[in-house]
Amino acid sequence: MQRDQWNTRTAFVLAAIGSAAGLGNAWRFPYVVFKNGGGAFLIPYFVALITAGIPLIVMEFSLGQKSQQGAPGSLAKIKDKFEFFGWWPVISAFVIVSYYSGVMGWAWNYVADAFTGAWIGANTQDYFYNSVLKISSGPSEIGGFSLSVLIGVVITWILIYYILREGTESVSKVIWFTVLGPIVLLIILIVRALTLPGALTGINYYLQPDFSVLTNFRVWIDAYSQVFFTLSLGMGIMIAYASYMPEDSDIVNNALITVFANSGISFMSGFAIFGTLGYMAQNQGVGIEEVATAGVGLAFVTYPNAINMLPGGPLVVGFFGIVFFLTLLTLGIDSAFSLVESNVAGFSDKFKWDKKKITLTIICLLFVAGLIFTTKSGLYWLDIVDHYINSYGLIIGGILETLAVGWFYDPEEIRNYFNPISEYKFGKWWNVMVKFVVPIVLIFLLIRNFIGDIAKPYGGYNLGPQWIAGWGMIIAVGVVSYLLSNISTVEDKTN
Amino acid sequence: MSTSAIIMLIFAVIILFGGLSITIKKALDSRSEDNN
Repeated sequence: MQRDQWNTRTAFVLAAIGSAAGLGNAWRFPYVVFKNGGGAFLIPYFVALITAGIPLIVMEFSLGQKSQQGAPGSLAKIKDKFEFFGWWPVISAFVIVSYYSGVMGWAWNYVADAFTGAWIGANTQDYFYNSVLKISSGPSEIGGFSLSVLIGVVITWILIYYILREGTESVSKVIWFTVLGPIVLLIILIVRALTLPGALTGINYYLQPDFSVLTNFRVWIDAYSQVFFTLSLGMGIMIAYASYMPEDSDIVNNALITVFANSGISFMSGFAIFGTLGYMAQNQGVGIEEVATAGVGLAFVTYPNAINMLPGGPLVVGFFGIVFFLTLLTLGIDSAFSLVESNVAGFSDKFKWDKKKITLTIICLLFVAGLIFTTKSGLYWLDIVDHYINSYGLIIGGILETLAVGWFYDPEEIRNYFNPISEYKFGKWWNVMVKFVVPIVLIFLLIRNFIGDIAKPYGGYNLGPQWIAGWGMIIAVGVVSYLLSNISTVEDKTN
Repeated sequence: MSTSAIIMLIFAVIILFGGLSITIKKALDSRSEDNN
């Protein structure tokens, strides 16, 4: 069966950038910078990019391109037993996209209601929790579906299927809009933010360096953590995408373009976020630290509230509301479909089923698995799953990959593969990063998260939901990965 | 904005967008070489 291939190198690089640049670039990076010494944080951040981000993405690109297989197949080519190491990131990606679609469902509500005016001039906290989520009292009170979120999720899945239906061919067409679109929309938001009174005060908070943080170990760990999560690593995505490239395509330069573009989008987002928050703080007569926040609270409560304060009346507010949520949706959609593609590549490589049918089947499974996040208790479950899959699932995936390449395979072999086909060559330092630095940092992060969760259960939830959606989910990722890696296919038997 | 914030801004712009420009230019150059 002829394997899918990107029709151009540009398509592959754009898809990789689109996957890396997601919601976290807009709602996490600016806040992490602000909380960790402002502009001074950029120093550990760049060090982490060079010593962990770039080596890891080059490793994932090499694994995929060399083997022409998704994550399970590429790890199995190193050693049969390592197929499990490849399924772990793929199943982690499955879990992530099951709730990521829920977040996109919320964003669709804000876009639609910018037209109806439901949140324009309203209390955005009340709108988000009571009108969109119709939130229940806790995770154990499921409370039925929130219809508006369910509709948003259905729209998201239809879009993802439409984008992935013809594999790389259809993705190659869409990424021009979903990667370049949010950059244009971001520029619109930045121009608006920077022309508001108080914006420069906000930007000053974002970038004012406090160099004393450079001696703080936690800040360096936060930098490595940010770099690991921002590049879509440990999810099998970059391996799957690179597997659709010709075996002799330049790996290092593709990786560098992806890294610079992704970090550039994160950096730009800070101007839109902190410029607007600066205006909001001035308007309310409070300090930036009182309005600065991250994640769901920033995107769905604080930022829409800041938009509500823009001068020019409801039409202007509605316009910038639509621009902001379309930025989130376009940033999010290519990350979402890349997570699905990681699964599609894994399953189609192993079982040789028709790719279109696999795509549809996986999307249907994901829709069903994600229904819990469209209920009135969805936010609680999402919060727990998100915490555990990021704190353990992805980090374990990264550790397994680097252990496989660094310790059970020869990193020199990989370096000897990518150097001759790349214009920029990496020295032996790359081997050291893959073998020692990255796994040590990831193991440290894993232990830190574990100790933190044992000392204080995450989010103050009861043990039941913590076990079901937290530890139980992580165990399930392991069991499913193990079972999949132990299924023999017809091809395995004939070999 | 303070001077130190402006310096960090310039520092980040040079690294991120400078790095992006150089790598994209390299990719475009190698594409035109391939076409020749």
